[in-house]
Amino acid sequence: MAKTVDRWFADKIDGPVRTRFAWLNDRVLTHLFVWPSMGLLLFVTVFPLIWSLYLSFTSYSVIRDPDWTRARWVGLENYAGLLGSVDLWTRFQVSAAFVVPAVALEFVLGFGIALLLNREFRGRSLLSTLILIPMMLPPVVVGLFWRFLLQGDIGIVNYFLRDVLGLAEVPWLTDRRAALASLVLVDVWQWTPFVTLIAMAGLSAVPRYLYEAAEVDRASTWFRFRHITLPLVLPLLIIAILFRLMDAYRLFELAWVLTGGGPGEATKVLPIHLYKVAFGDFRTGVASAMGYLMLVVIVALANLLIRAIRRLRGEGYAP
Amino acid sequence: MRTKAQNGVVALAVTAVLVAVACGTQSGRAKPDLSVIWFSWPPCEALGKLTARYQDANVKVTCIPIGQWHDQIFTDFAARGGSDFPILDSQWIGEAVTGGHLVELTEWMKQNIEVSDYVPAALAAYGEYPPGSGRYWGVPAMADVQILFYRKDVFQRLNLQPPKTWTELLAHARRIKQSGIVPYGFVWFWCGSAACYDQIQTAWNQIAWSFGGELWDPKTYRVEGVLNSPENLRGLEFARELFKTGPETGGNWTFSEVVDAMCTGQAAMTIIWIGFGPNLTDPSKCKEAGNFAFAVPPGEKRHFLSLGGMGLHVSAYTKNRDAALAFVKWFESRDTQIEWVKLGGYSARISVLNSEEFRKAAPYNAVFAEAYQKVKDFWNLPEYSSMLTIQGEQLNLAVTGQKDPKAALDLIAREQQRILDKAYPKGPPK
Repeated sequence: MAKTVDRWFADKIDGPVRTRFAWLNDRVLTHLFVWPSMGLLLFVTVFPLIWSLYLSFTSYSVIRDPDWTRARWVGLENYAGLLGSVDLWTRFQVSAAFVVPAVALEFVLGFGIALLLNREFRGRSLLSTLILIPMMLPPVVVGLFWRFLLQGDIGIVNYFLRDVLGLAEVPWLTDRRAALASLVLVDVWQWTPFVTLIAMAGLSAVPRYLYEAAEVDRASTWFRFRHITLPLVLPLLIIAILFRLMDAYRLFELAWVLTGGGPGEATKVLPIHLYKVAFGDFRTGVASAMGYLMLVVIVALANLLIRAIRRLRGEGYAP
Repeated sequence: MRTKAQNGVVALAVTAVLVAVACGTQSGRAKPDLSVIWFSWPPCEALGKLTARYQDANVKVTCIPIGQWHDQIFTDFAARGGSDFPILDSQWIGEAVTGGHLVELTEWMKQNIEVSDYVPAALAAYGEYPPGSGRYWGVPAMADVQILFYRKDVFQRLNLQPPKTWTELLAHARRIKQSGIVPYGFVWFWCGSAACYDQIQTAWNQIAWSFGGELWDPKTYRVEGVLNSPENLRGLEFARELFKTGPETGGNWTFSEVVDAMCTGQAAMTIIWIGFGPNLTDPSKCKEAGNFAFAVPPGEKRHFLSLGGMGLHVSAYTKNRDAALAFVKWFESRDTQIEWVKLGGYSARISVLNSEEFRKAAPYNAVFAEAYQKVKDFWNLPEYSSMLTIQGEQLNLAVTGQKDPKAALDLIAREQQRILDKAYPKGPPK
């Protein structure tokens, strides 16, 4: 069959067609496919990065300055102003107060659920699929329905607390501490399945014979977990943590819809602050500098975790 | 083989199709596309119905969530594009004009708009910049003010009269809550987060003004010592007491929660923008629609209400300036304004406000005419957005009992002063 098809193509490109496209060799084709993609990539990712880096050293406002050539070069003034501003450090603290508990809980719960699902039982596939549903939902939708669920007086969560369990209702979205906890809760609800998914992939790759050997040696369950499961799954878990850290750190939609950054500034995480500076106040230069400061932090965090993975894999790293 | 007759039929058909396509294209060219952007609320839907009647252009009305209203329009400006007609809140005009994003209408208005038929304050608020300069960048799109909606059945049972002062309103709200006839005496849009735009601010401002306070001194650009005055402190403490007559967890309530609470019989009173009136008085949308009565919101030492409403502006980036101006002329004509008020819009034309059609258009329109005499606006500055955000966040914490009112006012004053001092280091512009 394959020969017949080859023959058909050979017949088609015989003669004048073959001569006309003789220049279209593999090398030329490679360039034809690669460079448009590279050009597009440079235009939509690298160019904005370089451009915003330039703007971060200017006083540019995209709505007040008629064009970018009018932007005044201010050197490191934007960076100095931001680093000296109490407001920015407060926003970093709020982001950390959200990211650290959220990712820690997602890690513990996600890995725990993966361990439970890593055994044979009836309905395992169905349960695994159901557990993954939250992370497939758009954050705006998640924010909207959790906003209704957590509504103080008519929300179903407080209904259960108050009318079913006889407990005091919680001002989930209107108290400063409760609002941050609510944000963590919803993020954990949505993204624990992601850690579960990665952990399940790692667990399924652990060779069975290691457990069988441990069983022969009468190793305890804890020993098997501590010395077989955990070391082999840990590199993948660190990748999951890395993804979650980066994602939680730039959380915007969920916080915007669920709490809007309130009450007061209690849940005004860095991306909301950045959004208001960039698109509320339109201080484009300052917003660009803020974006770069955020980038530095996330690159540093990612670097730490990547080094940890390398160390675990025994590839060695030079401190 | 085709016959001559068949060929003739085919030729005719082809000609007919070509003529139809050509005519279609021509009529498409003759009728330009225009677009309006506003935030999502009943008047925006009404504007969609009104513009569908406009014959000379296809006008599309886009209604976006209120939290994105400012940011969407100004991001469009930044991209040198967007809708032909951005409907701007009065405080944004300075920001838009200084960036060169609006078409100046001063001369055009003299030829095309019956300026003398407008409430002068409305013309200034919705279009003039700098204030008092006589230069206009927009015309009134929608006049608006907050009015008191109250449950007349509850008031009758408790033998209450519509409150004339804020103190009286608080007493009524407490009494209603204690009576248990409805769960809450008074509900309001106390939301002050960045996503809620100006909700708690426009609510509290009118209390502050009525208690004798001011937000700033527009002559000297001083906020410190003006905003954190004893009068405003009393106003904020009062707002805290008023908040307690609603749900304890109502600190993030927006317009929609307030309307829901009123319509489901949870609350007896609210003060809300008249643009939301149709949501409260339409029996198909609101269970308690038949039980509401209306009054001018109260005053205290003085009587001021927050100015609502917005102007219709022509974007500097419109590709159809002539068609856009023709639409503005049509929209502002008396006949169209009469149709506008019948659909639930509010006009700033005196002859329309005095017309029988307006008075009959909605049960609360007589109250609107009275309340609109008491409006007051605040900062019309390019720094508006950042000043508004800090005010909303701190007011919300104070009203919900999570921050000492004095500390909140001091912080707002300090931060707003810092913003103004940075923007105007040499003092107010001459």
